[in-house]
Amino acid sequence: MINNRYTETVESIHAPESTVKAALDSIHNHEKKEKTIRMVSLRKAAIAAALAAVITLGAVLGINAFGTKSTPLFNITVNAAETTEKKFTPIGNLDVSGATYSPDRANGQLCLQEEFAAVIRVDGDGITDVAFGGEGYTLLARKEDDVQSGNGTYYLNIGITANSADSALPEAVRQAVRDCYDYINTKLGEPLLQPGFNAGTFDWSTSAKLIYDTLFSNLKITVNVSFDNGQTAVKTLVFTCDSVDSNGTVSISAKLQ
Amino acid sequence: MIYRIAMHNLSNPSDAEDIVQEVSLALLTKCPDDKDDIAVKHWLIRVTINKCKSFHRQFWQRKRESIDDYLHLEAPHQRGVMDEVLELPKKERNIIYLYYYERYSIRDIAEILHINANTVSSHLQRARKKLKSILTEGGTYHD
Repeated sequence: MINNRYTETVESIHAPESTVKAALDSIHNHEKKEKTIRMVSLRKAAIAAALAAVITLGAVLGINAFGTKSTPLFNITVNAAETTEKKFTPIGNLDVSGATYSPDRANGQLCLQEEFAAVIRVDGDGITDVAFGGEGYTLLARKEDDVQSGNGTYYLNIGITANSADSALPEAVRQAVRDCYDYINTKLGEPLLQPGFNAGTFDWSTSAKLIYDTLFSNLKITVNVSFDNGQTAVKTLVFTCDSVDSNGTVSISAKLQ
Repeated sequence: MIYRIAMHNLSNPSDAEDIVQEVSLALLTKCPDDKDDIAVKHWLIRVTINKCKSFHRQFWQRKRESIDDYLHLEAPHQRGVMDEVLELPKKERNIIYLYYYERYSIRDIAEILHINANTVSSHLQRARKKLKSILTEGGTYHD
Protein backbone atom coordinates (compact mmCIF):
# COMPACT_ATOMS: atom_id res chain seq x y z
CA MET A 1 0.00 0.00 0.00
CA ILE A 2 1.32 3.46 -0.84
CA ASN A 3 1.35 5.62 2.28
CA ASN A 4 -0.50 8.85 1.76
CA ARG A 5 -3.45 10.57 3.41
CA TYR A 6 -5.90 8.73 1.16
CA THR A 7 -4.64 5.22 1.89
CA GLU A 8 -4.31 5.94 5.60
CA THR A 9 -7.92 7.07 5.60
CA VAL A 10 -9.13 3.98 3.71
CA GLU A 11 -7.11 1.76 6.06
CA SER A 12 -9.15 3.09 8.95
CA ILE A 13 -12.49 2.12 7.32
CA HIS A 14 -13.68 -1.20 8.73
CA ALA A 15 -16.92 -3.08 8.40
CA PRO A 16 -18.65 -3.31 11.78
CA GLU A 17 -18.07 -6.66 13.54
CA SER A 18 -21.80 -7.27 13.51
CA THR A 19 -21.77 -7.04 9.70
CA VAL A 20 -18.90 -9.49 9.45
CA LYS A 21 -20.60 -11.89 11.84
CA ALA A 22 -23.89 -11.65 9.94
CA ALA A 23 -22.11 -12.40 6.65
CA LEU A 24 -20.36 -15.43 8.14
CA ASP A 25 -23.62 -16.60 9.73
CA SER A 26 -25.29 -16.39 6.29
CA ILE A 27 -22.56 -18.57 4.83
CA HIS A 28 -22.77 -21.07 7.70
CA ASN A 29 -26.56 -21.31 7.45
CA HIS A 30 -26.46 -21.74 3.68
CA GLU A 31 -23.90 -24.51 3.90
CA LYS A 32 -25.79 -26.34 6.64
CA LYS A 33 -28.73 -26.71 4.28
CA GLU A 34 -26.57 -28.58 1.77
CA LYS A 35 -24.03 -30.45 3.81
CA THR A 36 -22.32 -30.26 7.18
CA ILE A 37 -18.88 -28.84 6.66
CA ARG A 38 -16.27 -28.32 9.29
CA MET A 39 -15.25 -24.67 9.01
CA VAL A 40 -11.86 -23.36 9.93
CA SER A 41 -12.15 -21.49 13.20
CA LEU A 42 -11.17 -17.81 12.81
CA ARG A 43 -10.10 -15.48 15.53
CA LYS A 44 -12.06 -12.29 16.06
CA ALA A 45 -9.09 -10.10 15.16
CA ALA A 46 -8.73 -11.86 11.76
CA ILE A 47 -12.45 -11.45 11.06
CA ALA A 48 -12.38 -7.73 11.77
CA ALA A 49 -9.17 -7.11 9.84
CA ALA A 50 -9.96 -8.35 6.32
CA LEU A 51 -13.53 -9.25 5.46
CA ALA A 52 -12.85 -10.37 1.89
CA ALA A 53 -10.09 -12.78 2.93
CA VAL A 54 -12.31 -14.31 5.59
CA ILE A 55 -15.21 -14.86 3.24
CA THR A 56 -12.93 -16.26 0.55
CA LEU A 57 -11.37 -18.80 2.93
CA GLY A 58 -14.66 -19.89 4.45
CA ALA A 59 -16.84 -19.89 1.35
CA VAL A 60 -14.33 -21.50 -1.01
CA LEU A 61 -13.90 -24.38 1.42
CA GLY A 62 -17.68 -24.78 1.38
CA ILE A 63 -17.97 -24.59 -2.40
CA ASN A 64 -15.26 -27.21 -3.02
CA ALA A 65 -17.02 -29.63 -0.68
CA PHE A 66 -20.14 -29.60 -2.89
CA GLY A 67 -18.43 -31.42 -5.77
CA THR A 68 -19.53 -34.97 -4.99
CA LYS A 69 -22.16 -35.31 -7.72
CA SER A 70 -21.17 -36.37 -11.23
CA THR A 71 -20.26 -33.39 -13.42
CA PRO A 72 -22.54 -32.77 -16.39
CA LEU A 73 -20.88 -33.12 -19.77
CA PHE A 74 -20.56 -30.58 -22.51
CA ASN A 75 -18.23 -29.96 -25.44
CA ILE A 76 -16.73 -26.74 -26.65
CA THR A 77 -15.68 -26.01 -30.21
CA VAL A 78 -13.84 -22.84 -31.13
CA ASN A 79 -14.07 -21.72 -34.74
CA ALA A 80 -15.55 -25.16 -35.58
CA ALA A 81 -12.59 -27.08 -34.09
CA GLU A 82 -13.33 -29.27 -31.09
CA THR A 83 -11.13 -28.53 -28.11
CA THR A 84 -9.71 -31.13 -25.75
CA GLU A 85 -7.60 -31.24 -22.62
CA LYS A 86 -4.93 -33.41 -24.18
CA LYS A 87 -3.31 -30.97 -26.56
CA PHE A 88 -3.68 -27.68 -28.39
CA THR A 89 -6.02 -27.87 -31.39
CA PRO A 90 -5.45 -25.47 -34.30
CA ILE A 91 -8.49 -23.22 -34.62
CA GLY A 92 -7.54 -21.29 -37.71
CA ASN A 93 -6.40 -17.72 -38.17
CA LEU A 94 -7.02 -14.94 -35.70
CA ASP A 95 -10.06 -13.06 -36.98
CA VAL A 96 -8.95 -9.53 -36.18
CA SER A 97 -11.77 -6.99 -36.04
CA GLY A 98 -9.50 -4.02 -35.52
CA ALA A 99 -6.54 -2.61 -33.65
CA THR A 100 -6.24 0.74 -31.91
CA TYR A 101 -2.96 2.36 -30.96
CA SER A 102 -3.16 5.08 -28.30
CA PRO A 103 0.20 6.84 -28.16
CA ASP A 104 1.57 9.03 -25.40
CA ARG A 105 4.17 10.76 -27.52
CA ALA A 106 5.52 12.88 -24.70
CA ASN A 107 6.68 9.73 -22.89
CA GLY A 108 7.29 7.47 -25.89
CA GLN A 109 4.67 4.99 -24.71
CA LEU A 110 1.55 3.59 -26.23
CA CYS A 111 -1.33 1.25 -25.60
CA LEU A 112 -2.34 -1.32 -28.20
CA GLN A 113 -5.86 -2.66 -28.03
CA GLU A 114 -6.66 -5.41 -30.49
CA GLU A 115 -10.08 -6.90 -31.06
CA PHE A 116 -10.76 -10.27 -32.56
CA ALA A 117 -13.77 -12.49 -33.00
CA ALA A 118 -14.12 -16.08 -31.85
CA VAL A 119 -17.01 -18.42 -32.52
CA ILE A 120 -17.53 -20.65 -29.52
CA ARG A 121 -20.10 -23.40 -29.65
CA VAL A 122 -21.24 -25.19 -26.51
CA ASP A 123 -22.97 -28.55 -26.92
CA GLY A 124 -24.54 -30.66 -24.21
CA ASP A 125 -27.85 -32.04 -22.96
CA GLY A 126 -30.12 -29.81 -20.91
CA ILE A 127 -28.12 -26.59 -21.15
CA THR A 128 -30.10 -23.59 -19.96
CA ASP A 129 -27.47 -20.86 -19.77
CA VAL A 130 -23.89 -20.16 -20.78
CA ALA A 131 -21.81 -17.38 -19.24
CA PHE A 132 -18.28 -16.34 -20.07
CA GLY A 133 -15.65 -15.23 -17.59
CA GLY A 134 -11.93 -15.57 -17.09
CA GLU A 135 -9.06 -13.14 -17.42
CA GLY A 136 -6.69 -11.46 -19.82
CA TYR A 137 -9.41 -10.10 -22.05
CA THR A 138 -12.40 -7.84 -22.26
CA LEU A 139 -15.58 -9.28 -23.73
CA LEU A 140 -16.67 -6.52 -26.07
CA ALA A 141 -19.79 -8.04 -27.57
CA ARG A 142 -21.53 -11.35 -27.79
CA LYS A 143 -24.19 -12.62 -30.12
CA GLU A 144 -26.07 -15.81 -29.42
CA ASP A 145 -27.56 -18.09 -31.97
CA ASP A 146 -29.27 -21.46 -31.89
CA VAL A 147 -29.84 -21.45 -28.14
CA GLN A 148 -33.38 -22.82 -28.43
CA SER A 149 -32.14 -26.37 -28.86
CA GLY A 150 -30.26 -26.22 -25.57
CA ASN A 151 -26.93 -25.81 -27.30
CA GLY A 152 -25.43 -22.48 -28.11
CA THR A 153 -23.24 -20.81 -30.66
CA TYR A 154 -21.72 -17.62 -29.36
CA TYR A 155 -20.00 -15.04 -31.50
CA LEU A 156 -17.67 -13.21 -29.15
CA ASN A 157 -15.75 -10.03 -29.86
CA ILE A 158 -12.76 -10.04 -27.58
CA GLY A 159 -10.34 -7.25 -26.73
CA ILE A 160 -6.76 -7.84 -25.62
CA THR A 161 -4.40 -5.08 -24.59
CA ALA A 162 -0.65 -4.50 -24.58
CA ASN A 163 0.51 -1.31 -22.90
CA SER A 164 4.13 -0.32 -23.32
CA ALA A 165 3.93 1.67 -20.07
CA ASP A 166 2.96 -1.45 -18.17
CA SER A 167 6.06 -2.58 -16.28
CA ALA A 168 4.46 -5.97 -15.68
CA LEU A 169 5.11 -6.77 -19.37
CA PRO A 170 8.65 -7.84 -20.35
CA GLU A 171 10.60 -4.97 -21.91
CA ALA A 172 11.03 -6.97 -25.15
CA VAL A 173 7.24 -7.13 -25.56
CA ARG A 174 6.82 -3.45 -24.77
CA GLN A 175 9.49 -2.62 -27.33
CA ALA A 176 7.78 -4.86 -29.89
CA VAL A 177 4.56 -2.86 -29.43
CA ARG A 178 6.39 0.41 -30.12
CA ASP A 179 8.20 -1.09 -33.12
CA CYS A 180 5.04 -2.50 -34.70
CA TYR A 181 3.41 0.90 -34.35
CA ASP A 182 6.32 2.69 -35.99
CA TYR A 183 6.45 0.13 -38.78
CA ILE A 184 2.87 1.01 -39.62
CA ASN A 185 3.65 4.74 -39.26
CA THR A 186 6.52 4.33 -41.74
CA LYS A 187 4.25 2.68 -44.29
CA LEU A 188 1.64 5.40 -43.86
CA GLY A 189 4.11 8.28 -43.83
CA GLU A 190 2.98 9.24 -40.32
CA PRO A 191 5.27 10.67 -37.59
CA LEU A 192 7.25 8.05 -35.70
CA LEU A 193 7.03 7.44 -31.98
CA GLN A 194 10.73 6.51 -31.98
CA PRO A 195 12.83 8.87 -34.14
CA GLY A 196 15.56 6.30 -34.77
CA PHE A 197 13.25 3.47 -35.89
CA ASN A 198 14.37 1.70 -39.09
CA ALA A 199 11.55 -0.09 -40.93
CA GLY A 200 14.03 -1.63 -43.39
CA THR A 201 15.52 -3.95 -40.77
CA PHE A 202 12.32 -4.61 -38.85
CA ASP A 203 10.93 -8.18 -38.71
CA TRP A 204 7.15 -7.90 -38.23
CA SER A 205 6.59 -11.65 -37.79
CA THR A 206 9.02 -11.96 -34.89
CA SER A 207 7.79 -8.87 -33.03
CA ALA A 208 4.11 -9.64 -33.56
CA LYS A 209 4.61 -13.23 -32.37
CA LEU A 210 6.30 -11.93 -29.23
CA ILE A 211 3.29 -9.73 -28.50
CA TYR A 212 0.73 -12.43 -29.21
CA ASP A 213 2.66 -15.03 -27.18
CA THR A 214 2.41 -12.77 -24.15
CA LEU A 215 -1.21 -11.74 -24.67
CA PHE A 216 -2.41 -15.29 -25.25
CA SER A 217 -0.45 -16.66 -22.30
CA ASN A 218 -2.62 -14.43 -20.11
CA LEU A 219 -5.86 -15.22 -21.91
CA LYS A 220 -8.23 -17.62 -20.18
CA ILE A 221 -11.88 -17.83 -21.19
CA THR A 222 -14.02 -19.70 -18.68
CA VAL A 223 -17.25 -21.14 -20.01
CA ASN A 224 -19.81 -21.53 -17.23
CA VAL A 225 -22.74 -23.74 -18.16
CA SER A 226 -26.02 -24.15 -16.29
CA PHE A 227 -28.23 -27.22 -16.77
CA ASP A 228 -31.94 -27.81 -16.39
CA ASN A 229 -31.30 -30.14 -13.43
CA GLY A 230 -29.88 -27.22 -11.46
CA GLN A 231 -26.25 -28.26 -11.84
CA THR A 232 -23.49 -26.13 -13.24
CA ALA A 233 -20.16 -26.96 -14.81
CA VAL A 234 -17.24 -24.94 -16.04
CA LYS A 235 -14.39 -25.41 -18.47
CA THR A 236 -11.53 -23.05 -19.24
CA LEU A 237 -10.14 -22.32 -22.70
CA VAL A 238 -6.51 -21.31 -23.12
CA PHE A 239 -4.85 -20.22 -26.34
CA THR A 240 -1.49 -20.10 -28.00
CA CYS A 241 -0.11 -18.29 -31.03
CA ASP A 242 1.34 -20.84 -33.47
CA SER A 243 2.81 -18.42 -35.97
CA VAL A 244 2.64 -15.00 -37.59
CA ASP A 245 3.48 -14.89 -41.28
CA SER A 246 5.01 -12.01 -43.22
CA ASN A 247 1.52 -10.73 -44.11
CA GLY A 248 0.64 -10.51 -40.43
CA THR A 249 -1.74 -13.49 -40.51
CA VAL A 250 -1.85 -15.06 -37.05
CA SER A 251 -2.47 -18.79 -36.59
CA ILE A 252 -3.74 -19.84 -33.17
CA SER A 253 -4.62 -22.99 -31.24
CA ALA A 254 -6.79 -23.64 -28.21
CA LYS A 255 -7.24 -26.31 -25.58
CA LEU A 256 -9.15 -26.94 -22.40
CA GLN A 257 -7.23 -26.37 -19.22
CA MET B 1 -12.35 -4.84 0.95
CA ILE B 2 -16.00 -5.30 0.01
CA TYR B 3 -17.12 -2.81 2.65
CA ARG B 4 -14.47 -0.27 1.60
CA ILE B 5 -15.49 -0.51 -2.06
CA ALA B 6 -19.16 -0.17 -1.10
CA MET B 7 -18.39 2.89 1.01
CA HIS B 8 -16.59 4.45 -1.97
CA ASN B 9 -19.67 3.94 -4.11
CA LEU B 10 -22.55 4.50 -1.72
CA SER B 11 -21.04 6.60 1.11
CA ASN B 12 -23.74 5.22 3.38
CA PRO B 13 -22.68 2.68 6.03
CA SER B 14 -26.09 0.97 6.19
CA ASP B 15 -26.19 0.52 2.42
CA ALA B 16 -22.60 -0.68 2.45
CA GLU B 17 -23.51 -3.32 5.03
CA ASP B 18 -26.35 -4.50 2.78
CA ILE B 19 -23.90 -4.81 -0.09
CA VAL B 20 -21.60 -6.92 2.09
CA GLN B 21 -24.43 -9.36 2.77
CA GLU B 22 -25.46 -9.53 -0.88
CA VAL B 23 -21.92 -10.10 -2.11
CA SER B 24 -21.33 -12.78 0.56
CA LEU B 25 -24.30 -14.76 -0.68
CA ALA B 26 -23.37 -14.17 -4.32
CA LEU B 27 -19.91 -15.59 -3.59
CA LEU B 28 -21.48 -18.72 -2.24
CA THR B 29 -24.09 -19.22 -4.93
CA LYS B 30 -22.67 -17.72 -8.12
CA CYS B 31 -18.88 -17.64 -8.02
CA PRO B 32 -17.47 -20.22 -10.45
CA ASP B 33 -15.64 -22.85 -8.46
CA ASP B 34 -12.59 -23.13 -10.70
CA LYS B 35 -11.13 -19.80 -9.69
CA ASP B 36 -7.99 -19.39 -7.59
CA ASP B 37 -7.88 -16.89 -4.73
CA ILE B 38 -6.66 -14.04 -6.91
CA ALA B 39 -9.42 -14.61 -9.45
CA VAL B 40 -12.00 -14.83 -6.66
CA LYS B 41 -10.82 -11.47 -5.35
CA HIS B 42 -11.12 -9.92 -8.81
CA TRP B 43 -14.60 -11.45 -9.10
CA LEU B 44 -15.56 -10.01 -5.71
CA ILE B 45 -14.43 -6.53 -6.74
CA ARG B 46 -16.49 -6.65 -9.93
CA VAL B 47 -19.58 -8.03 -8.22
CA THR B 48 -19.37 -5.46 -5.42
CA ILE B 49 -19.16 -2.56 -7.87
CA ASN B 50 -22.01 -3.95 -9.98
CA LYS B 51 -24.21 -4.44 -6.94
CA CYS B 52 -23.50 -0.85 -5.86
CA LYS B 53 -24.56 0.35 -9.33
CA SER B 54 -27.85 -1.54 -9.23
CA PHE B 55 -28.44 -0.49 -5.63
CA HIS B 56 -28.99 3.09 -6.75
CA ARG B 57 -31.73 1.98 -9.11
CA GLN B 58 -33.83 0.50 -6.33
CA PHE B 59 -36.68 2.89 -5.63
CA TRP B 60 -36.78 2.00 -1.95
CA GLN B 61 -33.18 3.15 -1.37
CA ARG B 62 -33.10 4.40 2.18
CA LYS B 63 -32.42 7.97 3.28
CA ARG B 64 -28.74 8.87 3.38
CA GLU B 65 -27.11 9.49 6.74
CA SER B 66 -24.21 11.82 7.29
CA ILE B 67 -20.89 10.14 6.70
CA ASP B 68 -19.53 11.90 9.78
CA ASP B 69 -21.82 9.94 12.09
CA TYR B 70 -20.80 6.46 11.05
CA LEU B 71 -17.41 6.21 9.48
CA HIS B 72 -15.58 6.14 12.83
CA LEU B 73 -12.46 7.39 11.14
CA GLU B 74 -9.41 7.51 13.28
CA ALA B 75 -8.74 11.22 12.91
CA PRO B 76 -10.98 14.20 12.08
CA HIS B 77 -8.87 15.26 9.08
CA GLN B 78 -9.67 11.92 7.45
CA ARG B 79 -13.28 12.97 7.03
CA GLY B 80 -12.07 15.79 4.82
CA VAL B 81 -10.09 13.25 2.78
CA MET B 82 -13.16 11.09 2.19
CA ASP B 83 -15.24 14.16 1.34
CA GLU B 84 -12.78 14.94 -1.45
CA VAL B 85 -12.83 11.35 -2.69
CA LEU B 86 -16.62 11.20 -2.66
CA GLU B 87 -16.79 14.26 -4.92
CA LEU B 88 -15.19 12.21 -7.69
CA PRO B 89 -17.35 10.33 -10.19
CA LYS B 90 -17.81 6.73 -9.06
CA LYS B 91 -15.65 5.30 -11.81
CA GLU B 92 -12.74 7.44 -10.69
CA ARG B 93 -13.28 6.55 -7.02
CA ASN B 94 -13.10 2.82 -7.75
CA ILE B 95 -9.99 3.19 -9.88
CA ILE B 96 -8.27 5.34 -7.26
CA TYR B 97 -9.07 2.70 -4.61
CA LEU B 98 -7.83 -0.21 -6.72
CA TYR B 99 -4.68 1.62 -7.78
CA TYR B 100 -3.53 3.26 -4.56
CA TYR B 101 -4.93 1.00 -1.86
CA GLU B 102 -5.09 -2.44 -3.49
CA ARG B 103 -1.93 -1.66 -5.61
CA TYR B 104 -3.24 -3.08 -8.87
CA SER B 105 -1.59 -2.03 -12.11
CA ILE B 106 -3.51 -0.18 -14.81
CA ARG B 107 -3.62 -3.37 -16.83
CA ASP B 108 -4.96 -5.39 -13.90
CA ILE B 109 -7.61 -2.77 -13.19
CA ALA B 110 -8.68 -2.83 -16.84
CA GLU B 111 -9.06 -6.61 -16.68
CA ILE B 112 -10.93 -6.57 -13.37
CA LEU B 113 -13.37 -3.88 -14.47
CA HIS B 114 -13.60 -5.12 -18.07
CA ILE B 115 -12.71 -1.75 -19.53
CA ASN B 116 -9.99 -0.48 -21.83
CA ALA B 117 -6.60 0.18 -20.21
CA ASN B 118 -6.52 3.58 -21.85
CA THR B 119 -9.82 4.42 -20.17
CA VAL B 120 -8.33 3.44 -16.82
CA SER B 121 -5.34 5.71 -17.47
CA SER B 122 -7.60 8.63 -18.36
CA HIS B 123 -9.75 8.25 -15.26
CA LEU B 124 -6.66 7.88 -13.09
CA GLN B 125 -5.04 11.00 -14.49
CA ARG B 126 -8.19 13.05 -13.94
CA ALA B 127 -8.63 11.79 -10.40
CA ARG B 128 -4.98 12.40 -9.57
CA LYS B 129 -5.27 16.03 -10.57
CA LYS B 130 -8.27 16.51 -8.33
CA LEU B 131 -6.80 14.64 -5.38
CA LYS B 132 -3.19 15.75 -5.73
CA SER B 133 -2.84 16.96 -2.17
CA ILE B 134 -4.05 13.76 -0.53
CA LEU B 135 -2.32 11.36 -2.92
CA THR B 136 1.18 12.77 -2.91
CA GLU B 137 1.66 13.77 0.70
CA GLY B 138 3.81 11.14 2.41
CA GLY B 139 4.06 8.93 -0.73
CA THR B 140 4.84 8.82 -4.44
CA TYR B 141 3.10 7.61 -7.60
CA HIS B 142 4.21 4.08 -8.43
CA ASP B 143 4.61 4.64 -12.19
